[in-house]
Amino acid sequence: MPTWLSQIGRIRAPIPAALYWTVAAATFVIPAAIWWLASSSGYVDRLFLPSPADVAKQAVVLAENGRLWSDIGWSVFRVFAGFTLAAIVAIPIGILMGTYHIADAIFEPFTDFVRYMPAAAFIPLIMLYVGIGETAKILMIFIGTYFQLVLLVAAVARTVPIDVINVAYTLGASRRQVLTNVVVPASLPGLVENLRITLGWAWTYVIVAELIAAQQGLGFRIMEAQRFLKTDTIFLYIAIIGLLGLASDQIMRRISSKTMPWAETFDR
Amino acid sequence: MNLSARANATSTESVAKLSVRDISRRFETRGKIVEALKGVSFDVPSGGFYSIIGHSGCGKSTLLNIVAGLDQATSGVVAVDGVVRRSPGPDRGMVFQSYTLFPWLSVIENVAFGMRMGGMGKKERREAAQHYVELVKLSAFVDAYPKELSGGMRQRVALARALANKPAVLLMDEPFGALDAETREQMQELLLNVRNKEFMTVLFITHDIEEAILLSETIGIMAARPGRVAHEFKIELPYPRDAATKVSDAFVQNKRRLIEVFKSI
Ligand SMILES: Nc1ncnc2c1ncn2[C@@H]1O[C@H](COP(=O)(O)OP(=O)(O)O)[C@@H](O)[C@H]1O
Ligand SMILES: [Mg+2]
Repeated sequence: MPTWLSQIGRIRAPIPAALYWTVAAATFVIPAAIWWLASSSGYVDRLFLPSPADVAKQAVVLAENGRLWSDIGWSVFRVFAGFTLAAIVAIPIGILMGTYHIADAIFEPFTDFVRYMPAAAFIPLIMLYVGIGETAKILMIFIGTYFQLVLLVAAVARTVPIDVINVAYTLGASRRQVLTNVVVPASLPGLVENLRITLGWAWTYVIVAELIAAQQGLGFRIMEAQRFLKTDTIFLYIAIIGLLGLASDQIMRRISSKTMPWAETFDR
Repeated sequence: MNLSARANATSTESVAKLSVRDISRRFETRGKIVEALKGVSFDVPSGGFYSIIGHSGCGKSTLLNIVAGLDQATSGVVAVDGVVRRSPGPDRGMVFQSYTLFPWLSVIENVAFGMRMGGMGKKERREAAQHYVELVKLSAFVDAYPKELSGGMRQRVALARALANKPAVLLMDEPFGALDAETREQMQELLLNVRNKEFMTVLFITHDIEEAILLSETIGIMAARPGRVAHEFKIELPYPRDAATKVSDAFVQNKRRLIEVFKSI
């Protein structure tokens, strides 16, 4: 038996990179093959299940007339703006929550309360207050991600070992220095990891916002395509949202490993 | 409060580097009162090596945390050079049993941390830190991150980091407790070696009798419930000591006497 085979079932044991990426690629290729077979078998109505070729054709059309790029541009902009705003507010507040009990008392119970309200339910109010412009979409993403992110950041700050904090005091650090020179850097890897996860939710909420009120963007185009029964466009756009999510995820991972070579990581 | 007046009144010796006077500590958890420490007093002279030994849970860490200023005594005082200390400060450096290196800093940056907090310039503190990295024999790892180091190496960096701050007293809470037996012996020799080269006053906690004898000038034996120093025991072994000291007749005699006392409490 080859050694890599015996590695597979061992808890947390690394496997060869080639094996990892082959399996990962197969998880894309196999569903795509099933899709292709199903759509070319003739058993499923073209209207419900366009073939990969139909989708590819539609991609070329939309890419050439520029609509695809402008939709991607708008959605990326909204995710970026809404998510950056949520992160800028959530990171400092979350770190304070995880560090000072008084900050915890101020923010935690209230955040827990709001977090259980479905973000989409705020849409009518958002439209009432700020209209249907860009602010509305950015606010939607903010509401959808801020309340989750702030609790995750607080949880990360809380895991900084007390002995690490205490040793800094015995080295002469002031409370302020302990906060900025110990708690913050010690929280960074966990913080970036949670940003990466909540960024996925930002993608969900941009689509929700665009489905309801927008003249452009990926979500809007999906809604429009439904009206004209353009399932090929719907398929294309859903796949693109997935790819954009995957790409932003990989970029975050790359930034994280480049800027924090010191962090303990889960070895592949 | 200044303790030197009292010290002068009771003895002719000069004031101790570290004085622990009548420390008591009560914990209240869920209505239950635990008397972790009661009336703990001892002195560590300048340049001395004082070890506290005692069974697990007898209050050793609580005592050391109070000396460090990380915990507050219910009553009693801690004084360094006759000056009462209540909050943590760079005059009492600490090495913990758990690994407490800052993972985002390289070995040299870890060692220089205290100097950076004190506002020393980058070049100056790097040069100063270099000396301590060499002292713990980690010159080959100056720019390594903690995750690249073994447990023993991490504790050596922690020792260098504490020493680089030039503390009046070095506090060590079972610093080798998490290491395997072989590494622990190497660390004991390293610590003896470092003490030959650097002037330092140490308060050391361990539950390993041999470790206490090998390293210390004086051993305080703690009894539990409530935690207190029940006996003080002088180790009459000449310095320099090394691993070979452990098999000398004098060492074995000390150990026999100490075990007897230890059993009686
Ligand atoms: N924060 C705390 N709250 C309540 N009890 C504590 C606390 N810290 C320590 N104790 C109690 O004090 C006693 C001494 O603990 P500790 O100093 O950690 O012992 P040692 O270091 O000798 O093993 C133990 O009985 C422990 O349960
Ligand atoms: Mg302890």
